[in-house]
Amino acid sequence: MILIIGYGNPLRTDDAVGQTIASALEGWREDLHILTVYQLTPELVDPISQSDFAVFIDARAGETPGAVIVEPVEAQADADISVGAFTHHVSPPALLGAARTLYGNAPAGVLISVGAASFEYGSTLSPQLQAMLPAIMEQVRAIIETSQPSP
Amino acid sequence: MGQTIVIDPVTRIEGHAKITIQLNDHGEVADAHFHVTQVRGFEKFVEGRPFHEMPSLMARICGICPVSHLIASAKACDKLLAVHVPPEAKNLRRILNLAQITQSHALSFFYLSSPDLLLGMDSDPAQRNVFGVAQQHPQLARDGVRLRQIGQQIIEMLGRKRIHPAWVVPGGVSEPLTAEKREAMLAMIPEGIEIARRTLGWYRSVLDLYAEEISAFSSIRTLFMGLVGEDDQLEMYDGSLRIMDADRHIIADGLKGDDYAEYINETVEPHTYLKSPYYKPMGYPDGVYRVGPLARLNLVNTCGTPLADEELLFFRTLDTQSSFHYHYARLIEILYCLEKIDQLLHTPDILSDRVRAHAQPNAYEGIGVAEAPRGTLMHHYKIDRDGLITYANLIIATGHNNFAMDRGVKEVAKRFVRGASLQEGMLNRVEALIRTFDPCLSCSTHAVGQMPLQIQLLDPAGGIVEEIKR
Repeated sequence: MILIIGYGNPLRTDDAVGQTIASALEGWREDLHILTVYQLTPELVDPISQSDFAVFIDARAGETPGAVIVEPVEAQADADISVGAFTHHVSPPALLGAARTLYGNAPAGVLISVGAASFEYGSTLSPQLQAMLPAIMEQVRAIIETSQPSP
Repeated sequence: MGQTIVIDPVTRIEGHAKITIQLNDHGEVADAHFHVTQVRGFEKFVEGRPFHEMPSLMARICGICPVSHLIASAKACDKLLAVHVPPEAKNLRRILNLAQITQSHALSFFYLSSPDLLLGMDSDPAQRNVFGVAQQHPQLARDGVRLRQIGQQIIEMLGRKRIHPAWVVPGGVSEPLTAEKREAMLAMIPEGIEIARRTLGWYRSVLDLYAEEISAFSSIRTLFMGLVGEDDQLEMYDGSLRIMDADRHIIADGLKGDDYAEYINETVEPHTYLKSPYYKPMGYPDGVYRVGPLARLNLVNTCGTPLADEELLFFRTLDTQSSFHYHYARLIEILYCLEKIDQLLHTPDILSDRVRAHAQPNAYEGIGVAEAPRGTLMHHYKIDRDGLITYANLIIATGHNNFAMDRGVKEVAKRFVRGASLQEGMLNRVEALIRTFDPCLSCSTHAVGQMPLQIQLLDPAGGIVEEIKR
């Protein structure tokens, strides 16, 4: 099973791009399990541990709007997991590491970041990103196909 | 002239706050305060909005407890409509509220406070978090994750969303419960109860290790306030308010939420944006009280569910003035909530499709009161002839506890903090006192990056003498 986690704030224009893409992937393949969340929290370790491949999709500041950046996510070693005093937001590597520690399975993972044009208040993507969304979706689907570990 | 220690921000709580500790010339604690440093302004900016938007708008106050605001707000709007909410809808709202309390209590205990209890108050702060717990006590971490999931999944099944569900509406709920969802919820309850009982067993076994903190956290004695149900049982949704003194003597009972302004007043302190409510007949500060799990269990005779009542017997043997026992009360309430959800899901008409009363506004003023995870929550609205909000006043659970937190910080700092040999663990104990109340200050879901804990010892001119960073 491929777990898609799209995260971001849907009331902050392009910060919602992760959730938007994840929702749009619904029905694309039968082996997808899709979650849309505001941010990454510790309880995600359970569904992550049950997946074969975890795909994190987020907005990114400081990149060309619409640019799609792909980074592999490696499970963080126990000793390196340090989220400090705040536990409301956790990194993808920390979640994979915790999935291994708690449930004995850390799937392969990938982080797909999309350059944002705006983080202003608003319940829709910026016009710039909206116009680029079909092309972005195509890239995201291709990334998932090519990054997915072989069975 | 002494020195000042600033803990800013206070960590592992919901929201932003800081603590300042003033030392005298001998390095001893002279004074200390708990400051809430953010202002939200919801009461002001909802003015002019249609009243029926209130539940959804007010739910945005908080990403952790939106359901609590949703329910108190909808209850206030029920009063504006002047309708009788169908009993099945009330029970469905109750289930939602109990699931909310379950997931919020699980967050507080397992994610925020268990690191202190499991890893030690003096342990490495970089590891003193839920991931540190996961590494050293994976079963407890798995239990915390699962309990929170159970609460969130019930909320999601009822409200379609785990955060900011819009299912609770003025007059009831927007759609009935299906048999399929009912069975799915019931299937999760036994596992949740097993986890709650296992955690309670462990917690009782380690209580003695924290005798000094339990003693230090009991130095502030206050009144308690909360809703009480029929037969003196624990009640999270309806009931009437009871006020009890520190020796568990009832000093006011059967108080109606609608009349809160007659017996509750709020005062403002210059060092914080959080108002301090108090019981008006006793004045300020004698009339200050605590709310939340510790208060609720002190106020009632029984929980009204068998397993929680078994735990209550042991709870009664403790010094339940100590704020340290908020943790224990929270765990008992998790057990209660799960048992109660099970009971409610077995009520005969829970699948009824009569779940909403419809009406136009029939009153200009409405007050809704319910128990939130952190204590009694009050929403008070006034509207004009067009149904637009002209006035809103919210007394949130954390506000009720403001004075107790502020004075508690001073007492705990006096007990543990020594300016001449400042250790991180000393300051963590001061923060731990605040965490027992599980304050929800911002209620914001969107943290910007990681905020380090910064503790500074300042000389009289404001220069940094010593600094500890996490």
